[in-house]
Formats: sequence, C-alpha cells, structure tokens
Amino acid sequence: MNLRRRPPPPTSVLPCCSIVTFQHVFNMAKVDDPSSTAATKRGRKRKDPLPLSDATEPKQTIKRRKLKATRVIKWVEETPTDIMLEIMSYLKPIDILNLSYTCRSMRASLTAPDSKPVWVHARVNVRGLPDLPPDFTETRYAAFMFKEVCQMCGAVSRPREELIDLRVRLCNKCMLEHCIHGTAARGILGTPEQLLLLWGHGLLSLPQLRLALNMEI
Amino acid sequence: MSITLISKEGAQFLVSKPVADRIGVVRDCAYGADFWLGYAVATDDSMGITLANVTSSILSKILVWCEHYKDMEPLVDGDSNMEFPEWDMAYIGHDMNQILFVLEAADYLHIPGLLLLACKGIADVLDGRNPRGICDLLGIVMDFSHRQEVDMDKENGYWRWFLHPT
Repeated sequence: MNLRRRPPPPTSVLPCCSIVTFQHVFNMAKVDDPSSTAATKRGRKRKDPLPLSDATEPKQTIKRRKLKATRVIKWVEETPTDIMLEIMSYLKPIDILNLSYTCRSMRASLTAPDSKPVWVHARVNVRGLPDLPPDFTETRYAAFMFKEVCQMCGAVSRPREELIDLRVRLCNKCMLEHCIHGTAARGILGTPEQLLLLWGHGLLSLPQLRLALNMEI
Repeated sequence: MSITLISKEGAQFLVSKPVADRIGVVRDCAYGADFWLGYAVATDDSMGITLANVTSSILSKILVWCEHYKDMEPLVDGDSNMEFPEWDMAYIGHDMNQILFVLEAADYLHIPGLLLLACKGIADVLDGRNPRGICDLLGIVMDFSHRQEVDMDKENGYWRWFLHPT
C-alpha cells in the first residue's frame, strides 16, 4: 500500500546524479522494453481463459469491503485493558474460549498464566460449576466442560459420564478406538497397579489390545 | 441553570445541571474549577463545552441515558452477577457498532455507569457465538485456518499433556 501511495518517480528523465535507484530502472524497463510489456500481456492472456480466477476475485473484494465496514475499533490493539477485562467479566468460559480462537494475539494473551483472573471471573458466571480440579489448566478445563468437540478427531461429542475421570472429550468412534473398559483391562493385565501403565496405550499396540479384548469376552 | 454542549460536528445541546452532572468531564469542566479558581467557569449559557471526540448522534443517545439517571444513582460497580434494569438493556440494544461507539464515548466522557452498561451489552452480543461470528462482529481478521482450529482442540485435550508434559 505504501509503495502505491508514493508519487511515482519520473520515468522519462534520469536523475542528474549518478545514483539510479532500482525502481527507476524498473520503471524505465517497463516503459521502454517492448519485450517486457509483451510478457505481461502474455501473462494476462494466460490468466483470462481460466473461469475460476474470474469467479473468485470479486468474491474476495466483497469480503474485504465487508470487513472494513464492520471494523469500528481495532479491537485487540486499541481497546484498553481495563475495558477488555470488564467485558470479559460478564462472559462465560465458553465465550472466552471462543474469543481465544479468533486470532493469534488473543490466543497468546488468553492462554498465558497471567490471564488466570479472567477465567476465574468467567467460571463464577456459571452457576453450579465445580471448582477447578488441581490437575487441569483453565483453558483445558473450559474446553473439557463446554466445548462439544472430540479432542481426537474434531467431530461433535456429547458430554459423557464415563470420560470424566479420563479428563478428555471423545466422540463415540474415538472412544471405541482409544479406550477399553476397566474390568476388561483388569482381566487382561491381572493386577490393578498395571492399569496405570495403560495410559496412552504405551504397553500394547491397539490391535493387540482389541484382539486381547475379544479373546477375553 | 443550564450548560451548552457542543459535539464534534458543532451541534449544540442545552442540558440542565443534574443531567450534565452525570458526565464526568462536563462536571469537572463546569463546576470542578471553582474549587481551584474560586468561581465556576462554564455555568453561563453563552459558553459551550466542546466535546471534540463525540459525534452528535452518539451524544444525543448518551444524553437520553443521563436524562433517565438524573435523579437516581446508576450501578457503578458490583459483582459480575448483578442484573441491570430492563430499561438499561432496552436502551443499549443489540447493535454492535452503536454499542462500541457508546463505549468509546463513555470512556472519553468519564461516565462509569454507562461504561459498565456498554460492556454488559457487548458481552450479551458476544454470548453464545462461535469464533467466526465473533470475528465478524468485532472486525478481527481471523488468522487461524480450520486445520489449526482442530489442532487447538487437540491441544486442549488432557491426554496430550499426559504424553508430553510441558
């Protein structure tokens, strides 16, 4: 944009001093060389017959215009921190989580340890929400409680009682794939101490586990 | 006794003293000075107070609020569970641009009650929207692709932390 706004340097007359900037040379070449113009023309001709480029370009311009029209305050950059905190104190954890999904700077500031008070305020707004368990971080707790998304594959997952202790949200398919029932696992492994080693299926590969399960049941 | 307020475009608004008292800048400008100077500066009708950052449409909207609260005390602070009166919620509405302008003006004019109300209005509009909706409302340019969103979901999962504790 800045380059475009600058007044173009005179193309026909070279400056009297011996220094010739790159842009001068470039402009001269643009005006004088017939080969370069021909090359650009060829390039345009090649692009023209493609129907896709013609269809996509106007859509993009419309999107940009819409964004400019809706942008009132440069939100993240210009809103003072105290106002931001005031707004967030009225939001629920899921809204703050969604806010942290919008852009990188927001994500960085909201997942930082310094933003803990924001999440604490937000948790107060939901009545009856259990207090933060010591083994969770705030972001993970909000995602675990309110975001209905499978954390393995991204599909929709409804809340399940069985997965509360695993601290993970899974869809049906992923649950069948990655989890086994406790009693079955005890049948395979024998002693309950070894159940701790099952986390992340580091001991056995998945097909082995499933095979063992079928054999047991 | 009344005070003339001049907006950005030069439109003049004649307001009475209790209404103007709600606007912190005007109150300080008109009556605060007598503490230092020994006399009030702008209590005369002939003098106006120029509010350079506020457009006349927003100023008239803000004056409606000040008119409503000239007798009673607005909510200034409290816990986040406090509920605003129905008139307030109807006043602030659901138009995001309008609320943002009101928020800016309330911050500039030092009206703490209206500032809180605007924050509550924004929070109500943002409530229950997905990230793309929030971006459209606030004019944030979304720089995450869908793929990265799924990655963030995975990152939120507890098992990832269990395997690679950070």
